[in-house]
Amino acid sequence: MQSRRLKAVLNEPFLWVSLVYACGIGVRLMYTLIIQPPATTIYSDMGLYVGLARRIVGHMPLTAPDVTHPLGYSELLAFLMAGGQSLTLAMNVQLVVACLLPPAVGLMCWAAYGRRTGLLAVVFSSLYFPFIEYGALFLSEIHFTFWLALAFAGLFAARRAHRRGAMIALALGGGLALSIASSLKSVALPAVFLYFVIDGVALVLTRPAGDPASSWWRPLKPWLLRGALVAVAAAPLLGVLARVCTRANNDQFCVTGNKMGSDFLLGHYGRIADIEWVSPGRDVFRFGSPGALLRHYDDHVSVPFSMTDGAANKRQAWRWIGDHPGEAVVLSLDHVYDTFFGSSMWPTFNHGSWPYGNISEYVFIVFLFIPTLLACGAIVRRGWRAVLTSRTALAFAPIAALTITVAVATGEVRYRIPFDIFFIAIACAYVVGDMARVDGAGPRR
Amino acid sequence: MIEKMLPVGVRARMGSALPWVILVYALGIALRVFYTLKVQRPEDFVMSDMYFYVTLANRLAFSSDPLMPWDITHPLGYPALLAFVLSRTGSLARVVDLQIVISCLVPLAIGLLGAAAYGRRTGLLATVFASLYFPFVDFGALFLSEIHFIFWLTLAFAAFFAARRVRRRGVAVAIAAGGGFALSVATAFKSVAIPAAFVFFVVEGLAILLERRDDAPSWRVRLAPWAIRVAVVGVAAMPLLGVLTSVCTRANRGHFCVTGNKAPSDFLLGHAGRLAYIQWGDDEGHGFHFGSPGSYLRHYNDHLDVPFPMTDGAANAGAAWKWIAQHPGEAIVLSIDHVFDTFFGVAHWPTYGHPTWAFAHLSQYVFMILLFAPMVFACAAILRRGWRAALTSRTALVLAPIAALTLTVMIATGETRYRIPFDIFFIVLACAYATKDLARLDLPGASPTGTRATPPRS
Repeated sequence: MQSRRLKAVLNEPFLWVSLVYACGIGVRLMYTLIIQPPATTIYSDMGLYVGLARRIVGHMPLTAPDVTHPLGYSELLAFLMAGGQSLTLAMNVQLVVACLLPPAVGLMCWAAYGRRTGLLAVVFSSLYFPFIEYGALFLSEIHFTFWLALAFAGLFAARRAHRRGAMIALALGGGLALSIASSLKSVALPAVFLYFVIDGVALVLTRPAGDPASSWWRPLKPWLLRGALVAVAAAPLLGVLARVCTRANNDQFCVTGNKMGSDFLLGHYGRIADIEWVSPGRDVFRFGSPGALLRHYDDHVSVPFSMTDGAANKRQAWRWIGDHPGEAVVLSLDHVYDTFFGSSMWPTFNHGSWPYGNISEYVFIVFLFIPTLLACGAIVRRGWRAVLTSRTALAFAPIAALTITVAVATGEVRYRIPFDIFFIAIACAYVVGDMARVDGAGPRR
Repeated sequence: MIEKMLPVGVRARMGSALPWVILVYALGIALRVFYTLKVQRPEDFVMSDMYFYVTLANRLAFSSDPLMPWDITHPLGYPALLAFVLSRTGSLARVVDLQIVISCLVPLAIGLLGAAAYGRRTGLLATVFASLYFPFVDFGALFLSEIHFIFWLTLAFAAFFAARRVRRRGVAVAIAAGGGFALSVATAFKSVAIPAAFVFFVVEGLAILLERRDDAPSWRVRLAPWAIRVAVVGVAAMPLLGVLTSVCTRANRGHFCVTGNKAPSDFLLGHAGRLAYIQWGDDEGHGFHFGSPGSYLRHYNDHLDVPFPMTDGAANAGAAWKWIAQHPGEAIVLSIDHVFDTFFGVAHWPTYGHPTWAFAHLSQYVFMILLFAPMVFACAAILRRGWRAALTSRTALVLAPIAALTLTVMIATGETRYRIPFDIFFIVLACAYATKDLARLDLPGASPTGTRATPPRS
C-alpha cells in the first residue's frame, strides 16, 4: 500500500521538476556568489549601467548621452544602491530574479500550450546556462527576460480566459509587465506589437465561414479589448519613461532611448569593428558590435556627430545604403545570422566561463532551434492558414519581431537570449506533444 | 495559353525537366567563365595556401631539389597537377583553363552522384543546384585543391552508390574499381577522402548486417558482395596511394605518411587553447606560422611558440595530448567548436577577405536554408521510424562522409572551407528530400505531404 503511494508520488512530474528547480537555484547561488560575482565584471555596458545608477543616486541631471540605453535598469540599480554605494543588494535582487525566472518561463509556457509544456520549460530554464550567467552580470537581460516572460504569460492567459473579469485582470497584468520589460529593453514593444498583429490575423482567418462580410469585426472585439487593456496598463510607466527620455534628449522625442539611429548606422556602414562618434564640444562615444568582433572586422570609422543625434545617424546610414544596397541587404542578414548562430554570447566569451558560453550555443541549436524548426515544418505542411492560426505562430511572433529588429540594427547572441523563452516554449510543446494537441502538428505523446 | 500555341514536340520537351536543367547548367558555365576570367582571376589571389601550392609546383616543375618534410604538409596531388600543367614560362594560364573545365564538370558529377544515390530526379535537381552554388564557382577561381577534390570525391561516391545497385557482378566490379581510382585521386588532393570512404563502407556493412528479411541468407552471404566491392576499391586505389605514400615517406625523412605530415600539427593547433596561431620552430631554416580561419573569425588573439617544427608529428601530438590532459573540459569544448565552425562558420576562407565577401556570406545562408534545414527534416523523418530503419537507410550512407568530416574536424580544426566539398552530400540529400526520392527509398508508406485537416481552435 505504502509502496503504491510512494510510486504515485514518484510518478508525479511536479516532484522531479521541483528537484531540478532546486538544483537550478543551487547552481545560481554558487555561480553568482562564488564563480562570477557581478561586482568583479563591471566594464563596458555593465560600467555604463552602474555609472549611470551612481549619477542618479547623486541627483545629477540626465543628458542625452544618459539615455542611450533604457533607463529602467539604471534606475533599479540606483534604487537598490540608495543607502550607499554598495552593489550587494542589487546582486541579491539579481539572484532572486534569476531564481524566479524558471517559474516565470514555466508559467508562460503553461499559458501558451499547457501544463506539461510548462513543467518541462521550468526544467530546461532551471539549467539553461545563459539564464544563470546573466543573473551574475550587471546587465538588464535577466530582469528583461523575467518581465517579458510574465508579460507574455499574461497575454497568452488572457486569450484563453473564459471569464471576462479574469481576462481583464490578466491583460492589465500583461500590460504592466510589458511596460516594465520595455523600461529594460526597447525590443519588448515590437515583440508585443507583432504578437497582436498575428493574433488579429488569426482571429479574422478563423471566423465562421459563410457569415456576411461585416462579421470579420465580431471576432476582433475581444482582441481589441485585450489590446486596449494592455496599452492602458502599459501607458503610465511608458509615459513616464517617454517624458524623462525626451527631456534628457534635448526635447527630441524618445520613449526608452535614443540609440536606435546609431545602432542603425553601426549595422549599415560596412564591415566595421566600431564607430567613433565625435561631437566636438559635446561628447565622444565609441561602440562596436560583438557580432562584428566575432567576424573579425578591423576597420574603425569616425563620424562628426553625436551618437545621440538620431537624425544624423539615420541620414548617414541611408546614404551608405543608397551607395551599397546589395551589401546593406547582406549585412542585415548577417545581423540575423549573428543573433541566432553567433559562436558565443557577449561578454561571456571574454570571461573564464567561456566554455559554458560556447556550449550553451550548441545547446540552443540542438535542443531549441532544431525542435523549433521541426515544429514549424510540421505546421507549415498543414498550409498557411493553419500556420497563421496556430498557437505556435503566436509564440513565434516575438522571435520574428526580434529578427526584424536586428536586421535593422545589429545582431549578437545576447540579443536573442531573452527570446529563448519562446524557443523553449515551442521546443517543449513539441517534445511533450502539447503542440500536437493544440496545433494538430508534431509528434503525439 | 502560350503553351497551347507551341508544337506538340516542343511542348513535350518543355514538360520534361531535362531542357531546363541544361539551360541552368549552361548558365552555370557562363557564370564560371565570367567569374574566373573577369571577377576573381586566380592569378590575383596567390597568397597563403595558394602561394604554397604555386611555389611548390614551380619547384616540382623547374627544380630537381628533393622534396623535404616542409613540402609535404599538404597532399602533393594539387602542386603536382599544377607543375604538370604549368607552361615552360611558368605561366598559370593553362591551370586557370583547367580549373574552369573542372569547375564546369562538377555540377554534372554531382548530378551523377544524386542519380546513383537516389534516382534521376534527384540527379537533375542536384545538377541545377550545383550549377549555381557560389562556393563551387568561387573555388574554381582560386589556386586551391578544393574544386579538384570536389570533382573526384563526387565521382568516387557516385561509383560507390552505383556499384551497390547494379545487378551484374562484372559491371559492379568495374564501377567499384573506377570508384577506387577516383578515391585515390581525391585523396591526392585532400586526405579526408579516406575517412569519408571508410565510414561509408562501415555504415554500409552495418546496414547489411542489420537487414531484416524473412528470406535473408546468412550474414556471410549477404556481406560477400560488400566485401568484394571494398576489396576492389582498395585494390584500385592502391597504385596511386602507394606512390603517394612512397614519395611522402621519403620526403618525411623515412617517417611513414600517406598524403602529408600535417595531421599532428593540426591536432595541436586545434587543442592548445583559444589560439590565433602557432609559431613552430625552424626545420633547416623552414619555420611555419599557421592559424585556423575558424579561430581568426572567433577573434582569438593569443599565440603559442613551440620549439619543434610543424612537421614533427610525434612532438606535435605529444604537446597536444599534454594540453588535453591538463584541460580536458576545454579540449572537448574546442573540439565541438571546430564542428560548429565547420557547419555554422560565418563565411569561407579566403573569400571573406575578398571583394566577393557578400556572396560568401549569402552562400552560408543558402547552405543553412536550402541544405541544412532539409537535412534536419529528412533525418527527423527517418529517425521516427527507429534506429534500425535509420541505419539501413540510403540517407545514412549519404550522411556517412559528413559524419567522417565531423570526426576529422573534431580532432583537428574546423572551418567552413573544409565543409564545402562535403556539401555535395548535403545537396544530394536535400534534392532527394525535395523531389521525394528520399521518401520513396527511405520512408516507404509515409504520407508525402501530411494532412490538411483544420487545426483545433485555440
